[in-house]
Amino acid sequence: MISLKKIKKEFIIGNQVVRAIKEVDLEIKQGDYLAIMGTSGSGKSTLLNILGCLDVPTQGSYEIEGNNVVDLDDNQLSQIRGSQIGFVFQAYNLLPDLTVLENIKLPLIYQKNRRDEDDAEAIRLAHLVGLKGRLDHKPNELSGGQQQRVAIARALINNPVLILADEPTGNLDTQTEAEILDLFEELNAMGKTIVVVTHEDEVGERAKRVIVMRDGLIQSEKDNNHE
Amino acid sequence: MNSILYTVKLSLRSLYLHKMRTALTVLGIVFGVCSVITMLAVGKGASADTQKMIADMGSLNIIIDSVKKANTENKSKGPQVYGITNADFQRIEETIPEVKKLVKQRSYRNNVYYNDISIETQVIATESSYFTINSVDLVKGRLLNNIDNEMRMKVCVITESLAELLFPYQDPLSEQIKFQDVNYQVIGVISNSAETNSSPYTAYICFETAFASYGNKSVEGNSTNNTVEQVDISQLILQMPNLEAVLSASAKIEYLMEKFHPEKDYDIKVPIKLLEQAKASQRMFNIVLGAIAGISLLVGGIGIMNIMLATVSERTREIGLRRALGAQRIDIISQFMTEATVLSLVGGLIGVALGIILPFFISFFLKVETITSISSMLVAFIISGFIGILFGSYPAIKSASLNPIDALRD
Repeated sequence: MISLKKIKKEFIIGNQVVRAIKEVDLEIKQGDYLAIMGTSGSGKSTLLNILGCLDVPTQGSYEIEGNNVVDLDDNQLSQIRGSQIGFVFQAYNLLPDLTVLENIKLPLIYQKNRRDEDDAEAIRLAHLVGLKGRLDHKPNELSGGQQQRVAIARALINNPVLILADEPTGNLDTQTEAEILDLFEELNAMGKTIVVVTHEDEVGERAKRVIVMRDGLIQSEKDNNHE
Repeated sequence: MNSILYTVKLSLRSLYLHKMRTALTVLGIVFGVCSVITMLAVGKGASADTQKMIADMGSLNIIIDSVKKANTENKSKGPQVYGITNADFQRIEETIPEVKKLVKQRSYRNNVYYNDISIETQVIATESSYFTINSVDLVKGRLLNNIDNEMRMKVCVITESLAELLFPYQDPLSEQIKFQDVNYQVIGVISNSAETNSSPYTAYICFETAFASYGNKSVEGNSTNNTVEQVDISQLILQMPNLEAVLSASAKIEYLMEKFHPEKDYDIKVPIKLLEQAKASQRMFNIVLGAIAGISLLVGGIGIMNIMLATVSERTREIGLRRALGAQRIDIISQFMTEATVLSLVGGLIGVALGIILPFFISFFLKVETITSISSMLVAFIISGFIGILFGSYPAIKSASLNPIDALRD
């Protein structure tokens, strides 16, 4: 349902062409839990940006649910990001002035058929990620792990096709990291498709499938057997 | 519509959360709007004052005053001769037949006596129509009439203030006052004149009576330092039937007076012309005020732009996040535009409030008339809104042009 074919991405820096992604083919099926690993400069961040429709490839095709997103304009890409993809960032990226509930509802205001008057879904998700009783708190009143839970609930609010997490546990201690990864596993078990970009092996271990990027190519791909 | 309300609500909250920053940003607009309203109020008050003063002189009147020239002071013993003569009066009467009323007056400044009380008084010798041209309120008794004048009756009308001083206990109507060795029966009391240049202590006598008693010479000043002046007519007022007549007559009078008085010992006032001059200078005044107020609003707008630009770079990450969460460029633009507009409208609102209060203080402490008009408030408020949109647009567009990837990485 998500497929990248012969994706290439080149940047021109000065008068030099940098080939961030030389050629990548990738299929992500519904219910998948994929970890993209690699050192910095391997092209994993560029791949994440393309997956998140924050950037378009120089060549190749990228289809989400059968729609090719390569030829879309800025507004259409915004629309896809808002409706099909849920982002989870390393630094949580919550708005400090908004309450937990308002942060969770934030993506709704950019949707065509806005449903942000309805708190029920946001409350349900807050409970799902374990934020019962903290809906009126401001982000600075929460721990790092709780803030990341808010971000995950926010990523889920539009019922996206894909949850894209960029180093989601990079700022967390080991204990909290494990809790967040448990949450991802639960969500995956509910059928959510998750892609995690990380350079930590422990995080990669928890995914169903790991690909390792190197020099703009997929170096290796393996399935974790959790059985 | 809903989403606009939502953005307004959000921006109001963001402004509230950054009170200090908001207050400092808004200050420029507040003072701009406040100064626009206050300046217009002061300007309007001043012009209303002048216009009222001119209107009091009578818009269909032409006033000719005799003027003592400083350099005509003669060292010889003879009296100082100057001003409008009886010949002038006759010439004017003949040249301008359309005149509705022609009133001459001779004014003196000297003491009047009642028993042992003496008060320095302005004594105006004039005709009955003087009272119709300078509409006066009769308090008691009657005014001078034509018969008094023709019969050279020794009667007078005095102002209320003078009556109070001379006759604190008596009924003035049964008393006589003495002015330059002639006794005058008080026949009427009028309220003090609204005319700004006339003294509250004024007595009115008949022109012909005065002429018969004193001729055209008068002693001015006190007993130790006085001069003898020879003036036929101190002031001549012409009331014209309409505006065109005022203009044509004033030209004729100017020509006549200039011809016979090369030393210019007279002054012609045409209130309607003064009114036009006052209006023209008011326009000029308004343009200058408007320019100053405009500059202060501009400075306020630049302050808003400055803060909005700072806000944009401060909130790059937020912009990146919102873009990642599905916001289109237009959403980001409208968010920052709304913030800038709300900011300047809040400033405008406070400015209007101050602009209503400040003129009261100015009126109270500086004793200057001010008129605050609703239209000036509206104009100032609307301009402040435009300033917000205008100066908010560049930061807003700048914010939206950020690449979401770069903005997120910031």
